[in-house]
Amino acid sequence: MDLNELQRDALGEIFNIGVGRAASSLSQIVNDTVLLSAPEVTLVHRSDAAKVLLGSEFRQFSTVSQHFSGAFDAEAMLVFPESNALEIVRLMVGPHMSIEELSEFEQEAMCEVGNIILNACMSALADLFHLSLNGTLPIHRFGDTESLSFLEGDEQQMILVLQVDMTISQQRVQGHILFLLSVVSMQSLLDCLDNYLREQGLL
Amino acid sequence: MMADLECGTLCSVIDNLEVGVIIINTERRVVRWNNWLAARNCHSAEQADGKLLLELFPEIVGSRLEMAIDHAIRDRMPSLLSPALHGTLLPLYQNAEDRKRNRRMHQLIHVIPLTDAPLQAACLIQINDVTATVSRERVLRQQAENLRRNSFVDPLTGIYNRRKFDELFALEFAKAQRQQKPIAMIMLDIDQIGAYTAWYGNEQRDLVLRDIAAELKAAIQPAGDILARFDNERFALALPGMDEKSACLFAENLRLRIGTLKIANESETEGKLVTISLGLAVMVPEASADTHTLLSSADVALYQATHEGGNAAVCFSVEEGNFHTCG
Repeated sequence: MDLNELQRDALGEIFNIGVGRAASSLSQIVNDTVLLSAPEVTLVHRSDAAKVLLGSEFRQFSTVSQHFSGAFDAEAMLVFPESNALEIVRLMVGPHMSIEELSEFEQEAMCEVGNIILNACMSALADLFHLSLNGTLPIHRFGDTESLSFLEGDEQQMILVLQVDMTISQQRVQGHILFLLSVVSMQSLLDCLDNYLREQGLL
Repeated sequence: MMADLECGTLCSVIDNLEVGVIIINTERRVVRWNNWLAARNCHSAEQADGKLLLELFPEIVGSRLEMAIDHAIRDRMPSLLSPALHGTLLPLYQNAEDRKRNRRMHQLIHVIPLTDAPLQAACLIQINDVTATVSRERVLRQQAENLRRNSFVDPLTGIYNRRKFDELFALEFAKAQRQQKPIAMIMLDIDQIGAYTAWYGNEQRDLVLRDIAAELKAAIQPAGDILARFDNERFALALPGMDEKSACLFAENLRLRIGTLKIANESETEGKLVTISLGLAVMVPEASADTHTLLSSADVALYQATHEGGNAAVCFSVEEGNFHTCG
């Protein structure tokens, strides 16, 4: 299973609508310009997602995850290298504290940031595909690569990987959004996408 | 069994929960406002019933909470509003005193779509009081900051302690070694401090230590020089990049500068003033050299200065192995 060029572009555009909305919510909260873009969408097998994430020099991650269900089921997860996540929170909550001092209190803030971004992506999909999705509340975790347990498992699962660039207080921070879908759910998502493209006269 | 719980029972459970619960319908009108909330806000359940949430909480207009509610009702997406980013969004108070002083509680808010419920209940807003957690967090942060400071600052004089000196001196020494640049080391004692203390007492001695530390601090370059209280009545001063000639002048200047403070010392037979002695050593450290050599050279010079009657700055030339008076 793979994305053709049209599908890849369309998904990229839809997710960019989502992260754009998230950026305006975040800007409002911090009273400063927050920019978000998702320059790249790829579809990989679960076993290959590890390479995308683990290929980097980072070993500790911050993850915010939410489960969405409806026309398709997806585990959505915002993944930042831990230092990047702490940098985001530090920039949002206030520059007066060092990264070592950030606590549970700030982790909750990270959870909210993830919640805003993931909700925005999923509701952009739901809006354009005219469907409704239900979501769970976000869960935040810090951990090493081994705690990214969703990367392992036997069932055939696909992961939609979005690279995310976030600019806050003129600093650029990079991360990824992962959508973990079963093959069946991935097919449903692609069907929805093709319907949307047909509606737009693009297919 | 679960289906058997009647509606009245569930409402009673909601009313008695130890968290704030607001349930609103698709028009954003309140359909449930529990006791916890009524006790912490000026509206009772009766007053709130059927009202628009925006009327009850005008402050949420245009806020992230309003967006989160729209998001829950329109898109069925749940949201979390963290206390770190929103703090005291809603006018909720732990008690009447807090209300009078307008001291709001810190809140963690969850906004959850009620998708399975009948239309009259569209969105659940759950509010937790996290004031205690936030205060504890502040206290812990303050304590951490104090501990961090105490771990390298001498409480009496406010300059670095021995531990921090050792750490910074080792770094500067290694740098001088790498760059083959000189580093000067001054050891500094207050003359006859034992007699002074016997005469004036410990408190007065502490004041002298503080004044001298302040004077030394004003004389050095805060960016590069390392000044510390080395042990009880001894100060250490490392001057990276300074050669023997300049360091000699500097040491002599310090001696004169402390003299100008004119701190009375009746225990002193001559001059009746507090004076200091300084021992100086300078080296461009070779690869095999260690900090101990420089420190002990300065120590030897200080011993020489004190031994010759005090109120002097003496330099020990590491290369030539002899002493000379500075200035």
